[in-house]
Amino acid sequence: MSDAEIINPFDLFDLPLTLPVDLEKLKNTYFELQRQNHPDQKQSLATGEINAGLINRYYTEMKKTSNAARYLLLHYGIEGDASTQDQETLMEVMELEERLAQKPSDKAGVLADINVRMNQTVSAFLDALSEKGNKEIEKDVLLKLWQRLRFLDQLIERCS
Amino acid sequence: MVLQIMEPGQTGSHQNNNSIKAVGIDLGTTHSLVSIVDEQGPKILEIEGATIVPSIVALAEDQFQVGRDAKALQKKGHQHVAASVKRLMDPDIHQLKEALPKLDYLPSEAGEMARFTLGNRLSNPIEISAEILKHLKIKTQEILGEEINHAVITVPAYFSERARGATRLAAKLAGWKVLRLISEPTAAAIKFGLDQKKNGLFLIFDLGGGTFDLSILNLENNIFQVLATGGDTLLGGDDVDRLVMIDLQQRYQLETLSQTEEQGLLQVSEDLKKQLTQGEKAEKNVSFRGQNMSFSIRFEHFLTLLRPFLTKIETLLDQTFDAANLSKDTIQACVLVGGSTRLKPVQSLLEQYFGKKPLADLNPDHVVAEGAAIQARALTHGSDSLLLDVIPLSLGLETMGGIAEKIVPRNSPIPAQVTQEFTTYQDDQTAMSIHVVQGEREMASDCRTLGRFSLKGIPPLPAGFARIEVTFDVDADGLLTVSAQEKTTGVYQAIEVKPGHGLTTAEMEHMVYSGFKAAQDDMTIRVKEQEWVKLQFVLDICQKILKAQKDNLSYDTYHQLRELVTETKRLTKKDGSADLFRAYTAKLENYFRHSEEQSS
Repeated sequence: MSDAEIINPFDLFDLPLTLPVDLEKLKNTYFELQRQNHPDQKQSLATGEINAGLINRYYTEMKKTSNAARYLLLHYGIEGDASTQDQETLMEVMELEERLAQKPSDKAGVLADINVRMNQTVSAFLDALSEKGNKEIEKDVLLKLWQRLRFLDQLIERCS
Repeated sequence: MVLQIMEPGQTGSHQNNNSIKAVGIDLGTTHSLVSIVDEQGPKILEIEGATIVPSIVALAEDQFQVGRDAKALQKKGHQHVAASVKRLMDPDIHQLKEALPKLDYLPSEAGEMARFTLGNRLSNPIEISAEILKHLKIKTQEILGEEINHAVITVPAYFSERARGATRLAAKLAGWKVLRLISEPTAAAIKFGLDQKKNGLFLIFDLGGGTFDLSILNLENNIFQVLATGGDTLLGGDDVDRLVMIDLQQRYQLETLSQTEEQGLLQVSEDLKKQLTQGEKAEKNVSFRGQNMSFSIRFEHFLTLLRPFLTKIETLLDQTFDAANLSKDTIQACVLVGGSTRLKPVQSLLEQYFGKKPLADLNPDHVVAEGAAIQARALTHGSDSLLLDVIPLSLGLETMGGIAEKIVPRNSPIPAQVTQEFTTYQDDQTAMSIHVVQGEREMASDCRTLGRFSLKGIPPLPAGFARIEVTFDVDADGLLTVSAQEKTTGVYQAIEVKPGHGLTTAEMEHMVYSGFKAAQDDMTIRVKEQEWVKLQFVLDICQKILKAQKDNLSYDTYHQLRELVTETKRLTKKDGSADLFRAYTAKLENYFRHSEEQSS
């Protein structure tokens, strides 16, 4: 992780520490930040403390649920990859991939299905996050759920 | 009422950024325009009696002719003419020979720029573009009566990194300080958005003479957020002329045309096309090969000829919406920009595609230059509006197996700063070669090469242990800088690479130091002359005031003015500079205005 990533985008965009990200609020804060920091703004010499390129990058990243989940984990000091691959998730992803390959015309149907799973995963993730009592166990659960979100995000990208 | 008299020093301090005059330039394939914002808003400068300047350069009697004069020479079949050079600003583009009209350029090695024979030397597109920009600068200064150095220049949204770099260099050679390169459809959106005060998603459909651009923009409270761009830098109204010309050639059995004949027939084709923006039939009588000929075409037939052209446009529309992940139904309106949107078949296609009429209430020829002028004003005077643009093509690196890994995907907002970590794949590997590419294809060899460099001095480590951080920095003009550093040992080693323009170092040096130096000197002399004349004029008035108004002026004002007049008279044209003369003119004008107030 590079030094530039010290700022957490949840702080940067003044977002509540939860999922899903409020996209309207994200956009509005993004516009506000660019008004202050974009190199085209004359007053940026005085107030431009944050690199406009970095703001752009975080803005793009935060629109994806799995990225936001990762920054949420970072906020709580949880870093790294899940210690074991979640077999169940892998099977599920393969099944969805197969459905897409066999019936490309049913993209919309598959997408709706993925979105349902996405919402379930987000709920499970938030539940696990609120019960960080036993840190070691929960850390692994959270990382696994984050991985699952990543797979689902990739699938959504392929569907659209 | 007595006005406050300013100390000579104070006048200078008022010359802050707010007094910088900056123009917007639409540097088009076939025509270029200059616009400036005054109290009434943006206006197009009338250069040599017209708002549009042909983007043509000719060499006659060892002198460059630009614009109207060059076009006249081209019409006469003059040999040394360069036109449509904008299509050749990316050195890789000229390889697509079939897509290009028959331009009179010389074939060159892959990745090198095209060359034109003008007189006894070869000129590249950057030099020719610089000649056009220099011409625009001289004319702008003549019209506005002062030195103008700052400009916002527009480029097609779909222009590659190299073509943008080439445009910036051409402007620099012409003596312009480029405030910002902005995309043509974005410039149009700025003018449109500010005029109509609308919010929502809009598609800017920009079909010019040589390039086709699409931009999807979100307009929200004076923020112009580009969401996606698409297009084709080799598609435009010129292609329609060519389609008509080939058809005429077949129907009127005109095999093998000489260069002059081809020019003539192309002109006929263009005239017929323009006639068909109204009416069902077009006809043109000209003398051709020594006899009077009447060329005609029916609209129905014209539509059939245009079919492949229209299909291409429709495909690009689909692709742009796909890439943006947006449905065409989310678009509030499609805004027409560029002269070629006057074509009826293009307008009907769009009406069908969106299920509503496209907006044609802007002047499609002027809107880009006007938008650029508004942005130029915003950058020099500050503004409520903000432009958030994107990069049109993905930027990446070649990785194992020749695969292009995208680091900054297309439609990413700029400025962009992305860092990615790579590692070594062999034990004790101490160097790594980095190949920077641009494009959407999977294999690096199918993308455009922007540059290659190698990172040396990686500490010997087992494969996969080194941590090489590669950073891509894209600035607000869409220009890229790549740097790399090895992080494990704390040894900082960074190399920066700025992609080149497909020119040899010798050529670059020649361009920067020789021919253009002389031209810039000429321009400096010209501006100095203008400022001197202005100063002498004001000096004369002040001397008259001193004589005639002596009793009406206060003691202080009289003596201060007399001192200043004496001081000014000591200046000589030879030793002074344009800036110095301008400063004295300002000082004198201040006293002059003040004395007018006092005596009235």
